[in-house]
Amino acid sequence: MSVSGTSDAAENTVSDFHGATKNLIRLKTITATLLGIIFVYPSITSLCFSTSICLGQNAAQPPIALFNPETRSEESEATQLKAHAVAMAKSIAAEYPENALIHILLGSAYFNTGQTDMAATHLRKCLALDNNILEAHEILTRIAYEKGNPEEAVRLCVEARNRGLSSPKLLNRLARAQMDLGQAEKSIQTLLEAIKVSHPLAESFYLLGQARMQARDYLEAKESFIRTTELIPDHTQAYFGLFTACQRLGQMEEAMEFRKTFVRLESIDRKDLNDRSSQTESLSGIAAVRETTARTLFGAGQIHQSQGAYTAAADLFYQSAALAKEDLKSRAALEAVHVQNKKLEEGAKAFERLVTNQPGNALNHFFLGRLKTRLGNSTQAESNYQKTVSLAPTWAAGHHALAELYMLTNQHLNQAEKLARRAVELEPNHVRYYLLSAACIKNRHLQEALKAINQALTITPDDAKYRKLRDQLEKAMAQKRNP
Amino acid sequence: MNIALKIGLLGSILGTIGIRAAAPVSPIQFKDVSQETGITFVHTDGGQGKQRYIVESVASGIATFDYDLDGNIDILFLNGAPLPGSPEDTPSSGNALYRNQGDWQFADKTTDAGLDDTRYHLGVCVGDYNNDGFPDVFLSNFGPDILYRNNGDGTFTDVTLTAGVSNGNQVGAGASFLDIDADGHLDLFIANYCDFSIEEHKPRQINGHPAYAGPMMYGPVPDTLYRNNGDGTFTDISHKSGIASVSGTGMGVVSSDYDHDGDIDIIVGNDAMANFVWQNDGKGKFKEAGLFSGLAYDSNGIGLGTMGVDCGDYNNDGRMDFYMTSYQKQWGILYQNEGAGFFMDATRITGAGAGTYNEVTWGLGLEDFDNDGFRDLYVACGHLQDNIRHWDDTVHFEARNILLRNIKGKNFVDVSSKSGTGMDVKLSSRGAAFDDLDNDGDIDVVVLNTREAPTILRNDSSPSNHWARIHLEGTQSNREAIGARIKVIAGELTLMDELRSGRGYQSHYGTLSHFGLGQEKKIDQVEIWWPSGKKQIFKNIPVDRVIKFTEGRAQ
Repeated sequence: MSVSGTSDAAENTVSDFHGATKNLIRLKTITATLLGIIFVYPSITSLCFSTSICLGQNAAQPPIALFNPETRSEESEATQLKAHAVAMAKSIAAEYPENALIHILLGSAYFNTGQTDMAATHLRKCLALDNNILEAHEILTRIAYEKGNPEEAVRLCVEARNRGLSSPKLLNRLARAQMDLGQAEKSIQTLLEAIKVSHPLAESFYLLGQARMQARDYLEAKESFIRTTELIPDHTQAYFGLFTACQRLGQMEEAMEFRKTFVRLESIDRKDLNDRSSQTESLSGIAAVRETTARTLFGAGQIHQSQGAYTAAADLFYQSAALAKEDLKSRAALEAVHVQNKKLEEGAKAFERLVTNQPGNALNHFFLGRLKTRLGNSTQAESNYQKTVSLAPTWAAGHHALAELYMLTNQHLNQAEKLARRAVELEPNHVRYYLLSAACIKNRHLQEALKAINQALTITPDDAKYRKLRDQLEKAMAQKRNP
Repeated sequence: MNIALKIGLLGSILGTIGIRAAAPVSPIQFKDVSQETGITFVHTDGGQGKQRYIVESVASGIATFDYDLDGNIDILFLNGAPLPGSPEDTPSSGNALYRNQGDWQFADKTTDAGLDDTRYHLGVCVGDYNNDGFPDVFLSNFGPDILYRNNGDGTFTDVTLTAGVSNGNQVGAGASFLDIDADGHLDLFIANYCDFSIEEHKPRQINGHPAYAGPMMYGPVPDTLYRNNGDGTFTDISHKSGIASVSGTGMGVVSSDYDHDGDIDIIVGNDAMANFVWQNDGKGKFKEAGLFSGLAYDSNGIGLGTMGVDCGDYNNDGRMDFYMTSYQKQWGILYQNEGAGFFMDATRITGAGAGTYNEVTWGLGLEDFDNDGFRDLYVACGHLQDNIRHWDDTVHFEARNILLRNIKGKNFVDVSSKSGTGMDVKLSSRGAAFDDLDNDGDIDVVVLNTREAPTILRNDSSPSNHWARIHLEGTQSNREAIGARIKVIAGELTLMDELRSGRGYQSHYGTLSHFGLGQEKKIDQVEIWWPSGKKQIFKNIPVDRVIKFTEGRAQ
């Protein structure tokens, strides 16, 4: 199952909008390691559902003031949010006790609220119903590991692998637990298996370096750490590994170079961590609660959507978006569910409510603009996109959408070209270049249009649409030269 | 086959077939005798006002030493004090000095001894700073620190101001007396925790629940080093010595010659950042060598939330290894000394982290509890967030402590559930101390539990193994010979130890050096490297007793 109905433009926004926080991904990993934050959610989107029963009627309703944090203390908000996430998942599970996937959702909800015993109960229930669900094995393994029981983590991983279920993530977990048990050779074999896949995770190479260090094979360890830094150039811990491996190998000059890099990266990580902990939301942890609750609500919404329960799904996507202010996925799903069901007016109303509650949120204006465009209300759409651009001036998708609107309505074409050019500056990918090319054509800037489409083709040489446009442009320019 | 070995073998067999025997199966046996000792001390963290000041979560340490030189190890429990916000009728609290009267009976001598101070106490170390033969006490506090001079008549005098060691108005942590320049006078190192004051208190929440803040919310601070002028006064040489060149979040401290170059270095466990290794140049100048030595981080290059630090030669290879306790979701780390000043994180290959990953761990002891010649590990546990259950059900504020048995220097096995009722105690422990309280030749355990009465564990392990306890008296070196290195050769066993002041989690213990000797019935040779630089060798030493060596004299 996947959230359908999202256009290229919307999908392109994901990495882009979060670009500003991209450098925090590594940091988040480190933070989670240091603080022991429990944070997991199964990608239900990768699973398919066979039942067709409607789920919408008995969904747990949130307390009225749930999404108005100003009216309550953070502690009571956190308590209510966590209770709501679990209640929501429970209500769905109660309706479909025999649906294995729903037990993953409930298990995850419990896990995210720190109730690992209950989480494990539901994950085991999931596996009792269907022992071939990798994600249940993965989360159960994680619980065992978090509880400081590497033996159990190994047992669960091996059980999953023996069933033919495997993923680099699961193998990494297995390797880590094996290492914790002092089984370096076994860990190395597991990691060699993990990196056989077409796109191996950098983490697998890093762990391989660790396992080889444990086996005192420093030369091979060094190679694994180097491979890690090729995939993630600022992998702080890999540089620590390189420093220690070279130190053991007596390669002191190299060791000192790696040491320097490690110290530099570590101080950046440390500063970022300190900056984050000085932010109020980070400090209170309420942000994390909102995020995990939003994820559970989003997952529940996906389940409803898969069952054709449009209203319930829309409600949950709305709640998820209301909680996760920077989450694009829930908003894209909220838009999609309305588009799929041809409820554009209702969709627009939902985003209008979000705009009212979160007036400074560019994402809400963006999606409202998209729905207004579909509704044919280009004036309102223009206003929403303009607001998007003013609120998020470095976000390419806002410029892109406004340019697209102007071209669609044949208005402000010069402005459209400028906006498309800005979008390319901010995010030079093939979609942006294609739009720029189209905008240049609208303004009869054929040379510029050809240049832009050639840029798009440099990125995706086999795209038939782009090739066709390039051919047309070349032909038109040739005709122009030789009328 | 000796009894201990038989029991161990039985334990192994039962373990492999998954049977939990009701009978004791570990050679190490502890009995909780807290109720029988007459000790009525109850710790307070001063948090009655529910403000959750950071200091509450990290208090307090403990000291075991023979303050009246009667041959019995006495106990000094450190206490917190009511902090602002506490109800007005909150009773004042104070430290408690219990004199060991023998036969597991202790008498409260706090007031008689003049140690009834009611300030907020965190760390402690003991050392004879004035070389008069009586152990003095330094207390590291939230607020000005205190140095008590032992008057030799069972009483102490607060000489802080005269000595000049009040250390400003900081959050103190572990402390250690050591002779940095081998001049025969004990200098004083104090780890400082973070830049916290009541006025700067930052309320924090985790997942919306009120919680204690970490030290990084206040920022690190430099540690302090005082040089002993030899006339009862000290001079602050933190800057001159290099110690103040970097800031940290000091917790546990241990002084040890980690690089085996003949001078005493200082190892500081920092909370939520890299640990410090202060490498001594032998003249009292220090260089920070944590990263280079391998003691700063775990094997992942992560600066852990280090709490306590102790050292000992776990594999009897003649090199001093280190163990550091840490925060939840972090292993307690065993750093194996590889020689030349390098250490390797050997936690995983030895199993020395067993049981620690999901606990917050504090006090620790690398001690040979069954006298088999290999140092075991005792780790005190307990989360610092008293309401942790609200957001994580995998861990508890009150937890069982951990006992890991050293199997021939190769690996550690978790025997916590097989080592007697003493290991069933479930409280939130902090400082821990390890000494022979009943002079029966094995190491007993004293644990300070936050907000609760302490736990006193009597070592009831089989007495079939032999032992020796070495008492050193310096003449040219400092009187207690703190910093001396001792090598004991007994048959197949070659053991090593150092004398030190201040160790574990903000605590002090082990003024005499204890050696388990297994089945060896005599010591072939004792080698002593005195802090002065002198080396002496003694041969054919009897076992199962305390043996005193005086610097420069024949046995």
